[in-house]
Amino acid sequence: MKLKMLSALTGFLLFNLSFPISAATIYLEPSKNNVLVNELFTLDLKASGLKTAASPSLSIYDLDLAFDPTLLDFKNITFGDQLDLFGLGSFQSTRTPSFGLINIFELSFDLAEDLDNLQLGEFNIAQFTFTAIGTGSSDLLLSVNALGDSSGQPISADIVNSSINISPSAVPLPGTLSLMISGLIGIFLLRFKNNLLN
Amino acid sequence: MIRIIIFCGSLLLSGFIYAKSFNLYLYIPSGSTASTSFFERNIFYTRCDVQIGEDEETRFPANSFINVTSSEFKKIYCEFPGRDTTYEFKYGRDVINPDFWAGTNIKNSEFGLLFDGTGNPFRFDSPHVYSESSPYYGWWDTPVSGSFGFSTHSYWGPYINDAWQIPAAILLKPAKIRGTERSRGYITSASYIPEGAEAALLNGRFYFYEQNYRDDNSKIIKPLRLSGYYSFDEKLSPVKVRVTQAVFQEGDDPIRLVHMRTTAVIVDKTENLSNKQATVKILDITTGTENPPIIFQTTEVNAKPGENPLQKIFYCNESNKFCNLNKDKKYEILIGFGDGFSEISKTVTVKETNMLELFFVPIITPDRIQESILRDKPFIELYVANANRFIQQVYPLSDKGLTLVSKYSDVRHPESVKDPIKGSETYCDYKSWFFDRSADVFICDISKVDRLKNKTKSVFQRGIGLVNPFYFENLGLGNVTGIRNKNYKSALVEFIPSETTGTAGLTVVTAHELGHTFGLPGVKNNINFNEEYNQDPDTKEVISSRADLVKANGFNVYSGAFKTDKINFMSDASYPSSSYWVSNTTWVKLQENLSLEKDDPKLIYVTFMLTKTDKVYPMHWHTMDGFDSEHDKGVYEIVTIDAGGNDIESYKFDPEFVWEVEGADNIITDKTVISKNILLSDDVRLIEIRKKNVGSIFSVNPEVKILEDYSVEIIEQCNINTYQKSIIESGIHSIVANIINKSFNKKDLIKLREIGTIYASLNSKDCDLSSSYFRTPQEISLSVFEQLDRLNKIFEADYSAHVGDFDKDGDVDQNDLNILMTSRNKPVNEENNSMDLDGDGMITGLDARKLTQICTRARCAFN
Repeated sequence: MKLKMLSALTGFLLFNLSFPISAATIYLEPSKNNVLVNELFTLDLKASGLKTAASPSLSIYDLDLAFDPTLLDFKNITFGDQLDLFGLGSFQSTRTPSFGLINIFELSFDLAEDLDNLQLGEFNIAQFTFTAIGTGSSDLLLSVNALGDSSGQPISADIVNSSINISPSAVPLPGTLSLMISGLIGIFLLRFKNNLLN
Repeated sequence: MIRIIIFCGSLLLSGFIYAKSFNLYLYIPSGSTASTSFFERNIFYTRCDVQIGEDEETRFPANSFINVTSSEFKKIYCEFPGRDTTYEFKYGRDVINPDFWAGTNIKNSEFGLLFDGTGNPFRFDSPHVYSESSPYYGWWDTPVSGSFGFSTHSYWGPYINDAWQIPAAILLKPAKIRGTERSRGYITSASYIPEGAEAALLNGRFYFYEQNYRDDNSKIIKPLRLSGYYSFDEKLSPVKVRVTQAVFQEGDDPIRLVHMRTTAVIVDKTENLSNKQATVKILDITTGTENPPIIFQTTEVNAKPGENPLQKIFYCNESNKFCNLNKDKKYEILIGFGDGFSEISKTVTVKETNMLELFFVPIITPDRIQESILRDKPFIELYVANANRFIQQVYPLSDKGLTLVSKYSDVRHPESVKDPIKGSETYCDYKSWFFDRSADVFICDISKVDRLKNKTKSVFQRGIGLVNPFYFENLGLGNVTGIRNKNYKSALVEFIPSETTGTAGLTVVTAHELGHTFGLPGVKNNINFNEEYNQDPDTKEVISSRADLVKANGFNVYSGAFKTDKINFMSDASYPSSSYWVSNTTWVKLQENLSLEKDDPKLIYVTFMLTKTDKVYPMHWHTMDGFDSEHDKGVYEIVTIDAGGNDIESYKFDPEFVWEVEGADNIITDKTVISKNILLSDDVRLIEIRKKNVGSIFSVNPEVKILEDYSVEIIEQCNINTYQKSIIESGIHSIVANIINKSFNKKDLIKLREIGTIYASLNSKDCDLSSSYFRTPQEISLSVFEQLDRLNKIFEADYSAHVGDFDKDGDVDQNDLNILMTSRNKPVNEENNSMDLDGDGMITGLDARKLTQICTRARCAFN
């Protein structure tokens, strides 16, 4: 099976938003690039290129993550903390508008000054958890509905997508093995019985 | 042929129209300028080609409408005969020509749906002045009032060089009137908005708020007042900028004498932005963008300590040039926070509509003018300057001459009450007035003043001035007139000196009029002191049998005079070559008299405003202790009414000083001063003027409602006399009056907390008149000022805090955020239009973030 390396992935996609104010990078980083069927794995959604303790900061993101729903089963999402610097809560939303598409949205209620002064320049936006359910390769593609700085102005961003490879499991199923053994034992016993009778 | 291509429809800027559904109507009139019909007279040969969708350009015939929608509209080309330049503007965000309306051929243009290319959506302007001579006659009136927004939906070019520059009108969101889609009707000459038509286009934000308007001949019956509220003012614009030319009692005017009419820019911020620095620019764009706009001021709207953090008032001065804000000019207001101005921009055209002339007429009373003030030359000069401004407003003069003032320019010196001889009268008619624009003063040429007798019909006795020997002795004689009338408080009128008048007789004239002020009658010409004037057998001083010693507070102006002295200064001033007698003692006495605090001539003082629309706005009442009850007859009466609606006191008065204008439904008066024997007590909640057999003709609430705490900053050096703390703390309203007469010499803040009536009276002694003296940071909501503000505003770009209150519950919180989120990632439509806070045509998370910044409470918390 052909492997794909994250670093060789998809390249950059430039989003030209109206009046972009700064460039950032939004990228996906799976915990593993290769998983086996039925294996649980996580996918980090990260931001970089922002300035630590300086503007611009990220106050709102509205992203769609597309994946192959025949290969991956979305389990849950954990939001990061950089849009809720004080743990007072942010507006978070996760939707699956269609099969194989997850929309995640987070809106910070923090003050612009706080975001600009306290937010890290690189951080985890969110972490998805998937289970591999089929073999093959699934692209993990991001699209941006909105990225905004602390004042709600759009931020331009380079998007780095990812993918995941799923292999079949190497271990036979125990039930089949025992069945086979029982069958073999049965055959053996049958032959033994026949030998005795003969 | 010059080609001008009118773009229509692009709204790139925030692009917020981009994704909005809208209809654009371009009316393409044509006709001959020789025609007398309205449209034919005013509109010209025009041809427009419109590209709709991907179709080829379609030529629309003249006098037709093009109806396109945002989704299909591409561009409009219009050509105008005689032009050789072509402009092209495409709808959308791809092609922007920021200079498109700055072109040589369409400069100064005023038509709608223009994209300014700077990140702001529309430039909407009102038509030019509505008048008989303007092309908008027969059109509709678009007064500037209320929230500015877009005050009209029709846009016509200016008439420049005998030609109309933009022969096109563009409509956005034509009105839907009474359920009938009259999308084109009201712009045509043959159609009109039916009576009773109401607001149209809720989401298009064009509202009719008055009704009806023209007959079948397209003649205006009643001006259509149209106010547009496109989504512009629902954007994230929590700043209000008002520019007014109201009458202010501010800083440099230490005594509430003449309220100066000046221009001020008032910037209000919403509370959640109180800590934000707002920046305001006012650009004069009258000259078009070919020339750099004139930036009147870049102002950081940060309140100083003690000031209202939410409001800043900038009075015009030499540095900010706000004084140059003029009517009938076009400005762009830019408001921004931090470094940028892209957030808000509006273009407004200053109009004269509903401008008011509004005055306070000063009253000289002992507690108001003190002897120290009389000797305060700077103050006198200031006062005179104010008085002249006042006169200017009372007698407005147009640039074209005196035609407007003839009926206002009547100043008289009426007969004296109880004066057996009938006092002399100074009559300065309009022929005697001239306005010296270079000096910005209004002058009555005293050499042309008639001196008449027994002329008491005028209702224009209004000026009350101030004399000061120091001033006159050094600056020459002014036209000093004593007003003494049965219904007037005796007082003095002072107008600026005339070049034709020398200084001779100055003192005498002043004394003469002061004499009237204190009850002395005039005497026959050239009368020496004779037997008519008794002499004190011991001192030989003259004792006037006619002097009203009661009114004059016992002051005998003849004290010290001997009949062998020169001409009685109360005699007619027809003999300037003669020597009049005024003793030093007289001066002292006069001044002392002015400073007395008792037994001032009593009056209730009513000021009215005369509007150009023939409406009466009763606005303010002054009262003085005491009264003169000699006239209890008349068809009018003043009635004070208590909180229960019961009459407290009633005083009938002679209608002589109230006048009516022919054809007007209501009484119209400029101002009336009425002696009245009532005190405006705290019980009075309403004052009515009633007319016999008619009933109440207008009423006024004498209260000054202080809706919020506010501070009055007393400038340190002004030596304001102290006041009783207990009074202040108890919320007594009349603190200002109580300020005087007590020693107080430090800066302090006075809190007003209750509703009450303010009697303003200040002593300017030692006050630096060049500095602010008495500030009312306008948190106070005075009924009078409210009216002033409302009625005198030039224009207002009103960005109120309604932004984001989608559920209209009065705040912006997570409920509103939730509402917005339901439209997330959807294009703007008529329903969610107001949620597009960044104007990009989509409701996005960016709008949500902007919403969080204008939430009423922290973190958009619920109430």
